[in-house]
Amino acid sequence: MRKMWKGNHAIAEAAMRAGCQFYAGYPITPQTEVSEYLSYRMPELGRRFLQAENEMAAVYMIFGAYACGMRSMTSSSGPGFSLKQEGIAYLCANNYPAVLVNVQRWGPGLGTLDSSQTDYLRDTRGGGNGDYRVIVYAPNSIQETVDLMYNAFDVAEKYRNPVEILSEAALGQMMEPVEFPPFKERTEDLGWTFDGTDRPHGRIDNPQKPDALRAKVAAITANEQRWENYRVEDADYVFVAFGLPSRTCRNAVDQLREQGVKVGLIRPITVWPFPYKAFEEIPDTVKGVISVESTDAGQLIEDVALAVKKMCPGNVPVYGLFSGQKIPKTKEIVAFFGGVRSGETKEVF
Amino acid sequence: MATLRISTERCKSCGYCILACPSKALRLSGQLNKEGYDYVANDESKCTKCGICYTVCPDNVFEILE
Amino acid sequence: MAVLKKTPTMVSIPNHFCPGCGHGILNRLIAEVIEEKGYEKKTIMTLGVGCSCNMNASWNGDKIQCAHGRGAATATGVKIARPDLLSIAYQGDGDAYVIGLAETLNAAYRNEPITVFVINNNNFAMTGGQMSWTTMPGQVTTTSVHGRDPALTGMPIRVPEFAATFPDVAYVARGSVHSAKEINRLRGYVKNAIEAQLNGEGYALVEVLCQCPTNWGMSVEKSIKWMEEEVAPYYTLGELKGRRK
Repeated sequence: MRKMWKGNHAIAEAAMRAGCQFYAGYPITPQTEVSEYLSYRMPELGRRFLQAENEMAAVYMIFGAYACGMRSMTSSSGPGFSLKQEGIAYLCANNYPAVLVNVQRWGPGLGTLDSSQTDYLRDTRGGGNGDYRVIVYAPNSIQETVDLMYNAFDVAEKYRNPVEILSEAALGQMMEPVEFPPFKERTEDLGWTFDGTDRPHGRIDNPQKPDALRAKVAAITANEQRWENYRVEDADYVFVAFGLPSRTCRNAVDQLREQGVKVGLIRPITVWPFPYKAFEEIPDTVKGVISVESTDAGQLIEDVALAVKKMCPGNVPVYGLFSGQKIPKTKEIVAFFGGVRSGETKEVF
Repeated sequence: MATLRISTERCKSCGYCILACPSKALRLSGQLNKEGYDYVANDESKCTKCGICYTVCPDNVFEILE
Repeated sequence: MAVLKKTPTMVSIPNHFCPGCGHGILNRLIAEVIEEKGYEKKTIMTLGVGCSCNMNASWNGDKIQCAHGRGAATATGVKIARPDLLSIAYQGDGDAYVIGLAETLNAAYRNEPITVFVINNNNFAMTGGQMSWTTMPGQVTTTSVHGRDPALTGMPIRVPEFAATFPDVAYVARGSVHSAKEINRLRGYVKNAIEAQLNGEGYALVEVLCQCPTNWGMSVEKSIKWMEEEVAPYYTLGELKGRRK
């Protein structure tokens, strides 16, 4: 039965359903409810919750526990997630799985608590030193957040790579009806984890080499792209938006279609790997592609432009609607589209 | 009768054992091991097999065996 | 009288420390105690960054390499995942007391049931001998070329004394490897620190004063004399917090 749940509580409960045995984190708005919920929920289930002294310690607690095979996660927001990057790089260097949650707030440095998507480039590009990628899911509803979290540990363990849920302040704070999947647990030994016997740790014995990363990136890119296309097949103009902006964008598509304008929407669900395959459906006659995002100067648009270059014949212009520290309203998207169509608004790429 | 076994290939010629040996039985041999270190040698006539060389050696050069 | 001595298997691989470095002595003492307890296949060693990284090549047991300063946090995670195993963090003073001071003290403060060994050789040795918080007044390093001036950089830090003030902490001691006598005492501290974890008594920290002839620019003879005359009087040796009976 579906019940109303706050996003941050739902993501925490979903992690419990997915078999998370250990959580370590440090309070930061707007993700603190994840910690608060788990601080009592995990002991109820006989699992371990630990309020760490800082973000770095939290990620290394996860690092140590997942090295031993225990399903573990940490969560943070904006500047707190920046502090975790050192540990995320170490997780990737050692090929350890982990599940990470970033409930984004706006801006660099302290920023503000407004809902935004300004961590997009950092999180899809690795974020720390060296070459690595984190698999990043960007849900646009609380139900989808739950469903993606439910599989996150399995995917992280399959590729021995961290998986991140890229949420947004409003998505963490709002309430929606949710249905939870049943509790599950991984009982089998992963084979490579630390158990004191000094057994082979697989790729850890041979730390990350360029060939190994290429092979891993190729496999993840081939298998894990996820997206949702809406009315793209005959579109003259295609919007690209993920997370909460994709919801207002979808409304804009419906309104414009009612006016007889052929527009569609590509909604990336994985933002790394970026769903290039979604762009195959764009007709060759497309006149423009529009990135709609809660950023200040454009981040998603870089991936959109690369995808358009790869997948669309000719030099299709790519436009950007950057709404800064708020979710773009449907009427703003429709108005922006008017400028694109009339030629008043110039392309970015 | 206990014997002092010296794994000369492990010796780094630091001399800590020579300083610590209460019987003044140890000295550098003047011979080089594979790593190029002048390894330690023992004067059996002075050695009491007390094990202090084992205690101070950072490189596990010494063992005292039956 | 002959005392039979056999090299523990956990240190059977030749180590990569410099000639005369005291790390190898602590490695052996830990190995002896682990083998005495029958925990060779039930121990996970978390290695910090610094000269402790050398143990990746020589420590003949399970080991996790973590980042600079995060040894106590990583060992905490290991212990949470595997409470049945012995979780040890092995770090240097730069690692545990400078960049990782927060992680070291917070693990002690929470009384995490882990054992932490910290080699204090009064400098950042792996990077070539820079000043550490543990560097002695007047000591020349590559970042205190005229000798450490405490008026500018503070007096050497004493972390175990602080850790020992946390009420629940199980065991805190400081030993040294500058003589056979001190090494034998240190063996007792190592044993207590490991037993405290195995008995579920809580957090244990053992700091070990250690010569660094390479970066001190001294012979082993001069090094151990300096430790005895200058370092050990400042860094009081002995048990700072004994185990509860």
